[in-house]
Amino acid sequence: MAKWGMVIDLKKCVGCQTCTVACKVENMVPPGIFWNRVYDYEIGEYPNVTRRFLPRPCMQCEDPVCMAVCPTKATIKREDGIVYVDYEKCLGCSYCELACPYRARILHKKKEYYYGEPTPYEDFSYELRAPHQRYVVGAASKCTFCMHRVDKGLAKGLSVGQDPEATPACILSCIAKARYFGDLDDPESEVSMMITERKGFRVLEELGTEPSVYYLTP
Amino acid sequence: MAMERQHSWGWQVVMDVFLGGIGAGLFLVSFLLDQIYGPTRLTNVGSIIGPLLVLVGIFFLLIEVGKPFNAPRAFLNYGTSWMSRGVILQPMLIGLGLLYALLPYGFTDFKTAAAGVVIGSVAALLAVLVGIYHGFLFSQARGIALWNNPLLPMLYFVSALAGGAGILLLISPIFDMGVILSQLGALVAIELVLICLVLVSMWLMAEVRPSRAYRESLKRLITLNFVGVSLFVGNGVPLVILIISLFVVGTTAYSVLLPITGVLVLVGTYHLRHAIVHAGHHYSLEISF
Repeated sequence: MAKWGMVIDLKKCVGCQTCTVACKVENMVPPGIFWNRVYDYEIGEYPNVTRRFLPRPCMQCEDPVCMAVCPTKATIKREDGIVYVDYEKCLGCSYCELACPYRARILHKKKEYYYGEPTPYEDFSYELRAPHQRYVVGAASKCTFCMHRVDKGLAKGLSVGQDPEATPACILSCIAKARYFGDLDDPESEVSMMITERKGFRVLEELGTEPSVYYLTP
Repeated sequence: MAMERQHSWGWQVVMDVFLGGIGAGLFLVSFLLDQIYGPTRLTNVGSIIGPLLVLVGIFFLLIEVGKPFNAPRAFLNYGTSWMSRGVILQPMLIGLGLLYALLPYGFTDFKTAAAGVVIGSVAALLAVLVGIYHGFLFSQARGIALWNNPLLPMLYFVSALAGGAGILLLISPIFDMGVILSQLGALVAIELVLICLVLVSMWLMAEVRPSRAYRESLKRLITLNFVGVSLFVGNGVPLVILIISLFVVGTTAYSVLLPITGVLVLVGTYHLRHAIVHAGHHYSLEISF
């Protein structure tokens, strides 16, 4: 079984937020909720100041704290390492929001629409999608590495991370080709080789959550 | 990139941990006084109010969650989730605690009979676990540096005991005054000193912990407001009053000073919990390269 992971090359990221928007479009994420964020910050002191960007999807941790704290077992980790929420089982206690060091969890507090009135597109995300994908008000949600795309791609015999149909939306949309997706358990995969060659690191590694998202520095 | 304060848990959680904590502490102190000095009207009332406060605390938690009808599912993940453990422990404390508190009204001497002692001991053990549980609930939140702290369970437990004993001091004038109140005052004094010691340990921990997030959270906890209300009004002043009260035992002044101490301890207990919830800050994901 593959273990899906992501590599983000911080040297290439230009902070354009295309991945953020692509994620919202692909997953029909309601207003005010972002599964993917690109943090934009400055380091250094004037006049030697540099701007940096840090894209942050869910880290799909090997030891997910969000799953450990979830009182209702609504957080589920698949064999391929993808962690997702069963909205129907979620209590909406926000414990996972506080436990996740990466702030990748967010509680969907109320039904909101971008233009006040629901558009057919938005209704789809609440009412018409497959039951496990429908947003439930009061439940927590998070990035799933676009598992619906991964699963559909695998069912069609496509190569995950290479064929567009089997690849997460943020990877496909990145204008700078800063994101890569693949099997971390396969030492020959593109992601594994990049991590090895460029000494990929993980954010807040000291907390022991074993994230599946690696970053590359210049 | 600045650290951001958590907004996920608000006043409802503060009320839950406050009422749950002092409820457990009140039951535990009442049970101990029952067993050591024999049941009194004061401890009878204490052992009834304690579990009821825990029940009200659960109500506040239920109005905080997004899908309260899924609450029965919250029992499921007791293997790893402290919230699940709390959801199991608290109803057990309420049930057994009320059984211990209310059966004496049908059966005299129940509290000191073997069955009463057994039921009360189990309930008291549950009260200890509930008192500690709130600390573990917070310390399991690895995303909040200040909370992810091994000292929190101890702090919450001692503060729960102080709050519980504070309620007994508060309501003491309504009931019989006896030697029990001096012991209670001494107990509260010890607990207040322990709270200070744990807070000092948390502060010292900043020196050995490499986490910048922890140090910054601690700075946000120890504000003038915190020092003024939690430490001075809630700890320092009650300690001084308790010392003064030793010299006026049995007088009218004594029966006035003890309830005042009780109120101040409760204010301190609430404020401490409020401050810890609101001082919780997320890690900054800033990396330098």
